[in-house]
Parts: sequence; structure tokens; C-alpha cells
Amino acid sequence: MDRLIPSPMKRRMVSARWMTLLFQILSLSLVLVHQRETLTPRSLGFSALLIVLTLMSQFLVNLFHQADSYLLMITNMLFSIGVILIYRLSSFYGYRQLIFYSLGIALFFAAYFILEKTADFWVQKIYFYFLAAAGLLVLTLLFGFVSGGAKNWIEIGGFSFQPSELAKVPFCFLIAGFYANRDRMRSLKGGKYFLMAATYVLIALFFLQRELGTAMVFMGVLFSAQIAFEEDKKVILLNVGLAIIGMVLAYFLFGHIRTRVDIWIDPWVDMDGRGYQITQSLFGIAAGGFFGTGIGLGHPQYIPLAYSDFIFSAIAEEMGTFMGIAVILLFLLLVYRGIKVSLAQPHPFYSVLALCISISFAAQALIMIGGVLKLIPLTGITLPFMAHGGSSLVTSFVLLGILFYCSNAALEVPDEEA
Amino acid sequence: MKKPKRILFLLYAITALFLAMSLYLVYFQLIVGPKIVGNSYNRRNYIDETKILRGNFFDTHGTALTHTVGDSGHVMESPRSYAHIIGYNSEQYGKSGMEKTYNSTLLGLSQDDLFGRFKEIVQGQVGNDLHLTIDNDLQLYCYDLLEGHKGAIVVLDPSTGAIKAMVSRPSFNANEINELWENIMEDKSAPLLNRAAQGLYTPGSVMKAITAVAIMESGIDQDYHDTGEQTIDGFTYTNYLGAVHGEMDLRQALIRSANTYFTKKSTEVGLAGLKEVAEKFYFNKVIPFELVTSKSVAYYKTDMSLNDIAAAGFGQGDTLVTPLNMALSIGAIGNNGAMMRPNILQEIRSPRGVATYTSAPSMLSRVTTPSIARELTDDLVATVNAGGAATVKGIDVAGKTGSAENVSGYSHAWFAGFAPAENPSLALAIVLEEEGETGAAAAAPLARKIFQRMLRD
Repeated sequence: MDRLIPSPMKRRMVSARWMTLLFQILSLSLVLVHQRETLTPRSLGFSALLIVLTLMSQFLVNLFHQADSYLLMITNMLFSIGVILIYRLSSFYGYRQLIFYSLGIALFFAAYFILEKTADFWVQKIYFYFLAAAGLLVLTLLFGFVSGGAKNWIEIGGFSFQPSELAKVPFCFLIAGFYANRDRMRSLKGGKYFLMAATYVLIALFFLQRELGTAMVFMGVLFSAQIAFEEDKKVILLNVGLAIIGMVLAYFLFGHIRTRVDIWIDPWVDMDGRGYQITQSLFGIAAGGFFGTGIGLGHPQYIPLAYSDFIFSAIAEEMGTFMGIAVILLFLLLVYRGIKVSLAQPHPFYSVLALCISISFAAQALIMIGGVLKLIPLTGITLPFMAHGGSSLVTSFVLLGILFYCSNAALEVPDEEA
Repeated sequence: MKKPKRILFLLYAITALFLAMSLYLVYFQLIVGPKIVGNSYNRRNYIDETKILRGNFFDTHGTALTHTVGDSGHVMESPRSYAHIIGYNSEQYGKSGMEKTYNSTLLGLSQDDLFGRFKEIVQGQVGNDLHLTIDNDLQLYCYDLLEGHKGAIVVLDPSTGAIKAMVSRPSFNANEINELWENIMEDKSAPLLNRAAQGLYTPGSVMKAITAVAIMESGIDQDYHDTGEQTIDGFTYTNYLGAVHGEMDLRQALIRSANTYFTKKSTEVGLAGLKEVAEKFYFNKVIPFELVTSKSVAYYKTDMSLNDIAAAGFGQGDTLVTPLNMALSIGAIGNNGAMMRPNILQEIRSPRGVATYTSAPSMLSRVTTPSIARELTDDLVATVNAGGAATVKGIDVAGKTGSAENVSGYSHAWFAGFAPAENPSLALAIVLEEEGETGAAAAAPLARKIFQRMLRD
């Protein structure tokens, strides 16, 4: 079995851990200097809490020698870059993000432990996952309220969250279940089309909620999973064909999609109205230059939703294009290690699961960064681990925890199915 | 079941996409970024001015025209007199005048010396002071002279182009622009308009000074027999009060301000000649200036009728001129035919008092030869002396009055002149808008007062 953990183990692990700490200390100092006139004990508390939580999680994760602790360490770096800039923009959102982080870390380890205890329980299910995902989406349709142009929020006891974010989890399990039980599915009539059909149903539900970005992510994950695991080439081609037809249909059917494409092609004609967000994002990125304006010296507050949808632009403005490239490379590293987990994991179910989770991170990052750079139309999805948002952050850590479990070298492989 | 090759393919594809995005970021920063940064919707171009100590304005003698209030702004000592020169500075409504033109200088944004930069970081940014060519005493005096009238006065030094005074009424209290904005917008008399540089008025007889140059340059016969009437293409022109002057040369025609003479001679000079001379006097051209100007209009289209040409010759018709242009034009005649570029900014001084810029005079246009200019100067001195309204004891004043008919039915009262005639240090143009009186009755006496005050100390 491939060695997931590079050697010499001890030295590499140590330096990676300290890099994040160094970054945190340096950038937090800059933020505190920038806010020197409004410093409170809470600001110092924030900094201390971030550092302590990160160190704790790094320490804990390195105790799992059989799994890939790099996953969490890369993520901690990404998270730190994001949360520090969010805090610089707004201490309120910064605190909230930190609280979500602590919840996320807890769920990260919880996911690992739960899966460890119940590894076999999940392998045979398929329809359950589909129903779970569809159920979450239907719930939003029925009870949801609109925020930010998409009807995808639900309020429970004063807290609002996005079930569509959460739906990623059962969706990845659905794909894993499908390909892990391929023979069983193939024996059913039309069984080999089930996954595609299920995905399209989910995507349709997303469209109804105007959640186009997540629909694209789901599509990307399905497509990648097919490339990796689908043996019947016709199914893949059918998917491609349907997707193209679907996209063209969607463009003509849905006005808001045409709007987004129009804004993408030329936002400059309507800088007051529809083009406002993307043009302000571009101004911010341009203002930073390669090395950034410096934390606190730029004007990321002019970018709308700089703490969530456009966090990448804010980072590019104050920390520079080089930091933007660093973020891209960190995501690439994360995805690379995730795919490596998929390659190395002999258990079919968890191998597919690892691939799906990795691709979902990749797709989100590509679509989101591509959008704020105006390479593709804006879609309103969030950058995992970096954008402010409880549902997104928590879901991402849950997925990461599952991926972490997939990297478990000690997983027992089942016998080949009949 | 697993196909490592295909998974690897996915990995390569994703890697390629991520790397392509990184490259695009670099491309964006190098190529696209610089192009969009200057966009007016980019709020980063609008500095937080409350952190900068704005520079102040001073007149040519160093008298303070503004003083600092709070830690960043300033207010004018005479907000109505200088409303159109210094202009208003409002967070809501923007800036006008020199506040707008020299905004970055007043904010010290172009501070290049290292010491200044360091001081900026430690103490906060301080802007540069602007020293104007304006003579505060004269500026306030001219503003008071226009009390009860609409119009403008421009006084300048014709040998350098330096503006000594520029007033426009109706005016407004520029220090209170935010509170007054609504009222100003509703005010039909347009107090925001800088009539001195942007007001376009029918010149009437003051145009005859310029037409005289055209007549002299064209070489046509300057004699004329006046019968009180001149008919051109079926239209008959008469003189003021129907006067008949008999034999006239150019000087006589100027003294009497004879419409009949000028209509006839204009048609003889012809469209091309008139247009060429008018444009030497900067009609139809944008005068380079630190404040917004309007282009004076010398309307000469090739299919003009003779009557249109005639009307243009004595300052009616479609001709329009700004007081600034008129002052520059009359000053050019006094300055041996050289029209100098007008300027209000004399010097920029850094916060430490060092002059980082001093304006130097430059010629804008050669309107005519020195000999024609001197001859015309003598004519204009005779004109003033004969009229008597603008004369000053002991000094030769050259000039021309005008009473311009216009659509309102009340003629504009004009005077344009310079003194001392042989070597003028002052040239001015006064226009009283829709005054309903002649230039001689209303405008010339104001010119006398100004010359007396400035030249007889």
C-alpha cells in the first residue's frame, strides 16, 4: 500500500505546523497594529484563541499516525489566512468565524471517530443517501427564506443555516455507495443510470432554489467520479450530452442565468447596478499589486461581501497576488493529497468517497476564484474554509473529517463482492 | 474496479486548471489591473481627506484667503467674493474652482521629498499652500462694485497674464455650500456659474476693437462717409441715437462707435479675414486656464449672409464672448499684440514654506503686429478721452464701451480697456448683464474707479 505519510516524518510535520503559527503571529500583529485605537481585551482574546485552537488541532491530528494529518494542517493555514482578514474587516464576523471553527474542529474529529466505529454501516446504502440529500433540499424549498438572491436558508431556533451546503455530504456518500455497489446496481433494470438520474434530480432542486453554483459543483463531482470509476463509456457520454443540453436550456429558460452571463461578459456598462460586485472585486485585486497593500492599508471594505463571497479578492488586495497564488496552491495541495488518499485507499467505498470530497473542494475553489476573477460568471458559492459562513465552514470540516478517515491506512478491506 | 490512470488524469487536469488560474492572476495584475484602476467607480481613488491637513490659499501679497478649521478642512475669509475662484469643497457635492483643479496639491498627494514622506507617517499628511496672483484688496473692491448688478469683472496684468481680480455675481456663500445647495439649484439666476470665465455674452460695440484689427490688417480703405444709414442686402443699419457723422476714419468710427462704419467695413474685410482675426483673439478656442472656461463664439460659416457678417462686425449677431476672453483680448492690444496665457496660480508652497512651483508667463497668441497694436492703442485712448466716463487724471486709459442688445431686451453694459496706455499694468473687462444702460453710463465709471484705485496710489 502506498505510503501516505512522507518521510522523514517528524521533521516535515514539525515545520509545517510552525509555518502556520508564524503566519498567524505576524499577520495578527499587523491587524492589531491597524486596530490599535480600538483594541480591547477581546481582540487579544481572539488572537490567543485562534493560535491555541490551531496548535491544539495540529497536535491532536498528528497523533493519528495512520492517517494523513497534512489534510488538516493545510486547511488550518487556509483557514488562518481567511479568518484573520475577516477579523480585520469586522471583529464581529471574525469572532463568529472562530466559533464556527471550533465547532468545525470538533466535528472533524467526531466524523473520524464515528466512521471508525461504524465503517461498515455506510457501505451498502444508496437510496438512503439520495433521500437524505433530496430531503434537505425539499426542506429548504418548503420552509426556506431567501437571502442573497437564493432561497436556501432555514432558520431553526434563531440560527440560520444552509441545508444545501449540508447536502454535499450525503451526495458524496451517494456516489461512493453507487460505485462501491456497482454490481448490485447493474443487476437492476436501468440501474446504471440511477446515479445520473439522482444527481439531475438534485440539480433540478438546486435550480428551483436558484443555487446555481452548488449545482455546478455537484455536476463537477459527478462528472469526475464517472471519469474515475465509470466503466460504461456510454454513460459518461450521455452525461456530457445531457449536461450540455441542460446548460443551454437553462440559459434560455432562466432569466437570472442570462443576467449572470451578461454581467460576466461586460460588467462595466452597469457598474452602479448589476456589475457592482464584480467590478469592485476587480478594483480590489488590482489595487493590491503583487505584494498587496499591506494588512489594514488597503480598502477591502469597498468590496461588497468581502468577508464571505469575495474573501479571495480582499486577500488579494491586502496580501497581494502572491498570497492569492499561495491560496490557489494550498487548495491544489489539499486536493492533491485528497486524490492521493483515494488512490492509496484499497477499500472501494472509501476510495470513491475520498475522491468525491477532494473534487468537491477543487470544484468549489475553481468556480469561486474563477468567478471573482471574472474568468467565469459569478455563482455565489463560497470558498471552503475561508469564506465566512457557519454552514459552509462546518460542512467543509465534516467533509474533511470524513476524508481524514478515508486516509486511514488501517481500514479493513471487505472481500470482493459477488 | 479502481482505475489509477484515470484518477491520475483527473489530478493532472485539476492541477492544470489551478496553475492556469495562478497564471491568469499574474496576467491580470500585469495587464488588466493598470487599465481599470483609474476607473471613477473605484473608490480607492478618493482619498479619505479627513486625515489630511488641507493647504490654504493666499493672495499675491501673502494675505491669507482661507484658514484651517478642525484637523483637516479650511474656510474662506471672503466666501462670496472668492466663490468662483477658490470654489466650494463639499463631501456631498464635490469640488469646484481651484479646490478642484489643485485638489491633489492641496492634499499634498504629490509629496516627493523623503523628509516630507517621513513626516507624513509620523504626523499625518499635510497639504501644500497655494499662492494666487489675485490682489485681495482689488478682488473685494470689485465684488463690492458689482453690488446690485449681475455680471462679471476680470482684471489682469496684460504683460504676464496674471489675474488680479475675477468676480462674478450673483454669487453664493461657498463656506455653506451644503446648506445652500438646494436653494442654489432652484435659483434661476445661476449663482454657481462663473460668469467671468464661462458666461457667454453678446459683446456689442466692444467687439469693434477686434474688428478694427481685422480692418487694419486687411489693408482696405479706412475712410468712410457716414449718412446715418448703411444698407446691406436690404437691411438698414443705423447709429446710436440715429447720429450722422459725415467723414470718418477708423479712429473717428471708434470714438463715435459708428455701427454704419463697422457694418460696411466688415463686409469689405470679408468672412475669412474676420474669422482669422477673431480666432487669433482666441475665439472658437479653449483658453487654457486653471478654471473652467467657455469658448467664445465667432460664428463664421461659409454660407453666411452679408448681413450676418455685418452684424458680427459690430458685435451683434451670433457672436458671444466671455469677460475673460475680452480682458485678454483688450490686454493683448495694449501688450504690443501679444496675448498672454491667463493664470491664477502664482506659486505652490510646501508645508515647510518652500516654493515648489512658480508660474512663468507664456504667450498664448500673437493677435497682431506691434505697430497695429500701438496704432489701435492710440485710437482707443482717444476713444476713452472723447467719452470721458473712464478717464483718470494723469493717466492715459485706452478702451471701448459697448451696449449689447440681446434677447432679454435689456442691453449688456460693457467696458474693456487697459492703463497706463503706453505700458499697461492692468487690463480689464466689465460686463453688467441685462443692465439696460449703455456701457458708457454703467460700466465705464466702474473701470475708472478700478484704475484710480490701483494706479493712483
